[in-house]
Amino acid sequence: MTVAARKINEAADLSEEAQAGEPPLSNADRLKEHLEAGSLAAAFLDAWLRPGTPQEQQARLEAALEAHGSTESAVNAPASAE
Amino acid sequence: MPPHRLNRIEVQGFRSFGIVRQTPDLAPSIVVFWGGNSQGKTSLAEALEFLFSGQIARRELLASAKDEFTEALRNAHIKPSDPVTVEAHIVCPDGTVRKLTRTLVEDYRRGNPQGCRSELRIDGAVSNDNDIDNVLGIRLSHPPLRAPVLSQHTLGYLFSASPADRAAYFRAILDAQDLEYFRSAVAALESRIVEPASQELADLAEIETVPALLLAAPTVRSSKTLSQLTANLSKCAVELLISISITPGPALEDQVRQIEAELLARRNQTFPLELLRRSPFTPWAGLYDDVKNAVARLIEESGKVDAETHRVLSLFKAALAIPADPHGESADCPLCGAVDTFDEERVAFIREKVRASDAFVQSRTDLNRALTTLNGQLGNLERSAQGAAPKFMRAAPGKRREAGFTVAKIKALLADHAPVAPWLEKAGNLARADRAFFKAIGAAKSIVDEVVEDRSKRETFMRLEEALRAVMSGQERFVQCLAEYQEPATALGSALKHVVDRSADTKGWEPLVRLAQNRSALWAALEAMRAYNVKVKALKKAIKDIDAANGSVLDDKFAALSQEVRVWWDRLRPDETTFFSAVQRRGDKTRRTVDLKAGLSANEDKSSPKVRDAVAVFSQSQLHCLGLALFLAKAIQEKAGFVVLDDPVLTSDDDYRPNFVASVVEGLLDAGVQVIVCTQDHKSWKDIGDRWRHRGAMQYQLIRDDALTGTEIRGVTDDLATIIARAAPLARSNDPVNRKDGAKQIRQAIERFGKSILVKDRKSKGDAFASITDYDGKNFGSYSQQVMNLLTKDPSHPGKLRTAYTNVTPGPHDDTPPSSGELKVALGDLKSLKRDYLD
Repeated sequence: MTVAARKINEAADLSEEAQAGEPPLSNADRLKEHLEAGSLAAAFLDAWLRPGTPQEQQARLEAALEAHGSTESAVNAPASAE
Repeated sequence: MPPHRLNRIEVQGFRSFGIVRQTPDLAPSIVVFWGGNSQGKTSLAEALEFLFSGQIARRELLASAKDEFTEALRNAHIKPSDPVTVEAHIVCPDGTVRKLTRTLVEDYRRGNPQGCRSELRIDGAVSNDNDIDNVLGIRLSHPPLRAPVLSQHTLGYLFSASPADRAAYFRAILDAQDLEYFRSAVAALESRIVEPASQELADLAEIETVPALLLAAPTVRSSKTLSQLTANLSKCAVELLISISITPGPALEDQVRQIEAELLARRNQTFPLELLRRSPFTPWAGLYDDVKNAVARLIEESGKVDAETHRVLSLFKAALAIPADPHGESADCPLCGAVDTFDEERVAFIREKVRASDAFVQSRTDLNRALTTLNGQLGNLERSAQGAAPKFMRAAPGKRREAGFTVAKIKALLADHAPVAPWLEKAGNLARADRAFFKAIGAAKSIVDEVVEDRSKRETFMRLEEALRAVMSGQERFVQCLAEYQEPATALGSALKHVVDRSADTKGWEPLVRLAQNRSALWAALEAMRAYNVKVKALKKAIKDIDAANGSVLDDKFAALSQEVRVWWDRLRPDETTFFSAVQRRGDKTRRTVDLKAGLSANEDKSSPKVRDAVAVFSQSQLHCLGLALFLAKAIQEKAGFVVLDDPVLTSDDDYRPNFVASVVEGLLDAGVQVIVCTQDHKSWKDIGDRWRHRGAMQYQLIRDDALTGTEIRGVTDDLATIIARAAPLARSNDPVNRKDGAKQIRQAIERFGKSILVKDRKSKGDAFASITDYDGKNFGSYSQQVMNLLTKDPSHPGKLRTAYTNVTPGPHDDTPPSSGELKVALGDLKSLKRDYLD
């Protein structure tokens, strides 16, 4: 996991542990608050936060974009390709 | 959990520190070092910076002058073999004391932007810089201000840093670097999305520029279905044909044929581009093992049969058809009539002869088949090679000239002749390879014919094999020449096509024909482009969303940091109506510009302030305070266990020094931060010591009398050294008032020296209670003779002390201060006497 992702994760873990008491908002928590649920940006954040090497992280981001692209294409596809 | 504390530091050979290792113990609360100019305050602060970061920030901040730091870390006067080492004994939160040591391996060098090299050890074990965090748990800041060390050089960093550096600095303080990493990782996807590129898209782009198709061509790109695409291409073809006064055919295929015919006709009027055309070459795999095997088997089988057997084969087969005797009795031979000879042994003999003869016949059939296949392959090869060479090579010279395909014509058409020579050279090579290749194929085919005619000659088989090897070798050369011909031919063809199409006014015709003939491929390309556009649009929106979200997170954090900075600002300058207001992003859409805002109020309660950029409206003193407030806020945010402050308050800021000594130090101590202060202001040093003694404050002095010995760190008990150090700059002054003060201080130092040497003598004789205070209220004259009696190491010493005292003691009614020379001699003599008798 990259240092940056680790930091966000640590902060997220801390906030989860502390939910019962005084939850310190991590950068991840704060970002999520400002990103629309289900949006591509939110999917990117989820993909980036999962553990893995930087290469795996990059691959997950690409996969999130592909997945979003497929959905969009399906929605906006031309009526028929015959 | 208590934070990290430094409870001892050791410095040797670093900058002003010399060969004598300095080892002051540090109080866990506050330690204050006093030193005059050039005594080693900044060296001490930078030694700690070097210990933690391996560099000094001053060099990084003075980017244009990096080379000027060559050999800056090692004391210039010590031997190369003397170590340059900084060490700290660190009390960790768990109570253990860890030893962090950094030794300089290679100093800064000219032309080496990487900086210096050093070796880091933790508890004696070689470590790397990450271990400061991983092993000791001390998390350093973002470069260039990594260690919690504030110096004069770094105070102004934020006001002179580039917008990007300032933004990066604040992201580090706000612990928001990860937000930027995340944003960068997502933004990096932009370069990973490859825009589709294909012949079809290039053709489409070209027809979109054709004036006659300005209305019809854009409809092709926006076609929603394949049939709509066909209709829209037809619309283009129709518009094109109408524009050249040709009545369009009913279907797209008809229209395409019309355009092709007109295109060829128009081009040929200018230049026969057709003659440059060629087809892909399909090489022969060179597999003639079937022929080789068939030949080998034929030779083998032919050895097993003789001509006689072959002649009577039908009789043998008839004999074998006679049913055997059911009782196993032998019969008369049906071939020669011999009595009782047609037994099992003879039957087996005949059967073997028949089998061998059949095998021989089969091998001949197999060979025929293999030769037929080989012949077919050679024919295919010949045809493929025929088309692979450009058509002009196959045309008769007369026909070529007649069609206008000449080098002279090509040169006449092209303004730039550069593509011609390489094309000619490679075309020549290809023509030679082509001829040799065809010759080899022809030879091989004729030998195949020979073999078919007469399969009995082994020598013919061997010639066939040789000929096939020649075909392979010719093919190899032909393929190589084709490959070499490709690039110059494409360059020449493109240049010619451009000229021809322009001259024949047929630009975009050929692409339209290709698109109409490859509609499925165009449809696939358009779908790929649509998918690409969707992806790019989605990514751009996501980045915009992330920017906005990151900005909101940063705004919250900036607000918290601003609050913290205001706390320190108010401690430093509580009553000013010009004050620090906020640190914030320049705007919602700004990621890389961070502003420091000042409030300007006309009211004492700071109400209704006008907000301006602090850099513009603050005085130097106010900017200095803001730098300090930012540093302290950062230290608190980063939970630094200790801070090192090198001259935190300007000498000229007399009004605010008490605020620092009282309010700021109090804030830091209450926040649990160990404070290490270096100051050249003796009063601040004394005030901090006095005010915070109840919190365990420790005081040291930095004295640098000798370049080799370097800066010495002495406890407060060495008052004599302090007085000498304070007198030194005054003695050098051109200002008579300063020199008068200097003379007074040197006189006090001589009196202190006299008392100290007397106390030392008494103690050496067993008077354990001897004390300086025994001589309080006594003037130098009352004990000077006793002092002189003790100066026995050199006959000149009593005279030196007496002269020094005389020179710094004014006579009655004498207002003229001693000269600078007199004071310097007096000071120098006193230093050497101190060294010889007291140190």
